[in-house]
Amino acid sequence: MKVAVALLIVGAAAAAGALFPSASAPQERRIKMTARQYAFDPAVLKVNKGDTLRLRITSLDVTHGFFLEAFDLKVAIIPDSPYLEVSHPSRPDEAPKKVEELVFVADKAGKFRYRCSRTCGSMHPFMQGELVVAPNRLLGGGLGGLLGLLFAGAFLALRRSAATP
Amino acid sequence: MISKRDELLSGFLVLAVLAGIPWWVMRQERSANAVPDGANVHVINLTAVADGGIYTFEDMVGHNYWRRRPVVARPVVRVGEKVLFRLRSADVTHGFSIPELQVGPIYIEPGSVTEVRFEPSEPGQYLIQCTFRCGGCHEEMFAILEVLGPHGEPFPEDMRLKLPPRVKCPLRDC
Amino acid sequence: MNGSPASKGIDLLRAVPGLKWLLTRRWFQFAVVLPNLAFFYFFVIAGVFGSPVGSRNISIIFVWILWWFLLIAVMVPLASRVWCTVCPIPFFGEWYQRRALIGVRVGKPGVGRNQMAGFNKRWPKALSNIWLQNFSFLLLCTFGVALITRPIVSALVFAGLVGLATALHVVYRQRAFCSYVCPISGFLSLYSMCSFIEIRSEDPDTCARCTDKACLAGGDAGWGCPWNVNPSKLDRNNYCGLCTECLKTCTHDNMTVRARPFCSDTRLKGYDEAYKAFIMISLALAYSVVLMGPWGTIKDWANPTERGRWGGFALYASALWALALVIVPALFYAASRLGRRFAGATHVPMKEIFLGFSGVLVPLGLMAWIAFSIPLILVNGSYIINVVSDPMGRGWDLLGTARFPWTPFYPQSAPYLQVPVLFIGLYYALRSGDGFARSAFGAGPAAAKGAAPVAILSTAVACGFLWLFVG
Repeated sequence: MKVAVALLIVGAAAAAGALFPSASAPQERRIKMTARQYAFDPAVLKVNKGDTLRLRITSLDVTHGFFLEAFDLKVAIIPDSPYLEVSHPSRPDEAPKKVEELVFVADKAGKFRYRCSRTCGSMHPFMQGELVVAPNRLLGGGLGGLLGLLFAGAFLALRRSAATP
Repeated sequence: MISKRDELLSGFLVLAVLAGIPWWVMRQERSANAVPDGANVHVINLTAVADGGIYTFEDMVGHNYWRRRPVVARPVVRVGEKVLFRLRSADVTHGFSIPELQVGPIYIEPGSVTEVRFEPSEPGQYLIQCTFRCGGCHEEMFAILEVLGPHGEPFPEDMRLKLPPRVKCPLRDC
Repeated sequence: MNGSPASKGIDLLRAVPGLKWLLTRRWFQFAVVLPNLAFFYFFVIAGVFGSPVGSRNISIIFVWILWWFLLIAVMVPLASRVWCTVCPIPFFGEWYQRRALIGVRVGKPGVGRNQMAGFNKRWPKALSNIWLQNFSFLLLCTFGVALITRPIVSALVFAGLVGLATALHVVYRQRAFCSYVCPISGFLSLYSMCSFIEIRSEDPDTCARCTDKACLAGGDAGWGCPWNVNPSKLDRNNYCGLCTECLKTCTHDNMTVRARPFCSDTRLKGYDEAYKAFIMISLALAYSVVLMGPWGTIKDWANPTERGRWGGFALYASALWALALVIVPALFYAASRLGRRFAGATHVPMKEIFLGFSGVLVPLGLMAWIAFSIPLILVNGSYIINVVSDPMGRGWDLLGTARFPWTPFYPQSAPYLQVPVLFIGLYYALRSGDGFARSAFGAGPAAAKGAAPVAILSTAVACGFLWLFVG
């Protein structure tokens, strides 16, 4: 019985946390991004679900890549070139398209990382940025759940000490 | 309780590992570098290095890559030879092109060997250049391919190439 | 509260057919170490003679992606210090000491009943703790970027550890390197407390009646415990390297391997162990920020040998050392002291309270490290495929997969895996804190009040990691 209440506390806190984040109405965002050894700038993009993102990415030194997880996008950023070469990992046989800006809709909420996909030096595997698409329900739910765990623990401890003579 | 047989057998296995693995590595290297019709082909191994913008004959590996800049290669071939360039990169993607001989431009990816074949027909000095932005020294990443006559005769003086002096990425003395 | 000799659990030597037979063979350790020796020998060769590009070299991919993930997420939680069972680092040193790979020598000179070569000096008492390992690991990780991105550094460190272990084993008795110097051993000792398995004596009465103590002193059937713990008195996993000698040596067949509940060992016994916990959680934070974060400036600071920003490096290193050695310990000290006051137990020595509550960082730290390692394997695991065909980045193609492209494996799923992992960490941390509070402050309401500050601090730490990974 106590355990059931404890689980309920955790679940409720997680649910409350997950419902808490909100997002604004979708809009169009034009973003100029640079890539260098070993970071993207801006390193964190905070957008809303449904936003249309138009990215112009340039490299400040060597060739970099831009691999955005969950969005099936892999882009080559070649220095001194006005074009980005966009390809899709799910369609590897397709030839890359040359575009001036990368356009896509942030149709999924959550935190997604974009990574360099062209070996550019020693810290290449750790060259990454973050696209945070509101509402980030996993964050809210996770934080709520952890706090719920604390409260559930307190509840169980207090019930147990109340039962102890 | 020592069983001499067990100890000899296990000791032998250890020595087999210590000797066997380098032997296996060298065997794999030999077979990976083997060239079909190898006797008739002039194989030139070049490694591209971003730090310094250098094409070198030196094998750039763990123990020497970070120590110093390698010596720039000056490959020498003859008219009529079948030339095979086996190209490696020690760090990032490089390009390779000998525009006057219509060789390349091709990419040299790190961790694999890129091959390009051609047969030179005119003696002279030809420019090898990197065609893929590889770092701060990319604009100065050149080498000279020397083509001698079919029997090793020197090339005509008007085919001599003068490379622009290196400013950003000076080379060490040979 | 630790897994005591008579703890509950499943006797695996009885439950798993063939396991007892296997673990009691004299050739067992040799059979599992030799392949590992071959692998790591090859990794050193690949690091020295192979491509400098980390992602094309087996010494980086197999060690820092595959081995690291398996170690922290599989081996330690499931099988305690099983890495030490198969570790090739002390191989040559131990071969020298024992002058045997399979058999056992009895006689003098030696240690206990076993004849052992070398000077057999006792390790200095002042260093008979994990302080050396605490600092060596912190130092290694401060330069961690060079270690995990440059094959030559990994190769030199590994070869260096083998050399050091061999030298120490010529001078000192038994596994002195493993027990007191090895940087890996330091954190394995801490996190093995959470593991699902343990080696313990079966029947404590048998041990009480035993006169020859072959498990420690050695005998005809096996070497005395090379880790110099008394197997008959083992009540924690920390310093048992799972070498399985005691299973063979015990003349009463009274040692066994047991499966037990997760995080059964909860008590830290010294400041060195508490500081290991502080150092490890701080490093988990540092690595999550530097490697998994988006902040390029901090990455530059942590990579001075390439980027040249030594001023930034000094700042980064100082911040890391301050966090690990001052800030985190101070926060836990404050929370422990506050808890003692709330519990009305100011008569209890602070050392006991501090060490007791620091134990919460064992499950929390282990889970934070596992959470950090999840994206590492999902994003970079595909390099394993190309590297098995071309391990040295020399253009080989052993299995036809040398050109396999970098293919992250559902990297967007990482946050959904990290959240439950952090949950598990906090759950066991709260449980550990609560268990200690009850033992220190009694079973009444004082326990809940006493545990509260550390519980809140642990929750804050877990939330911090969650925000880093998911927010």
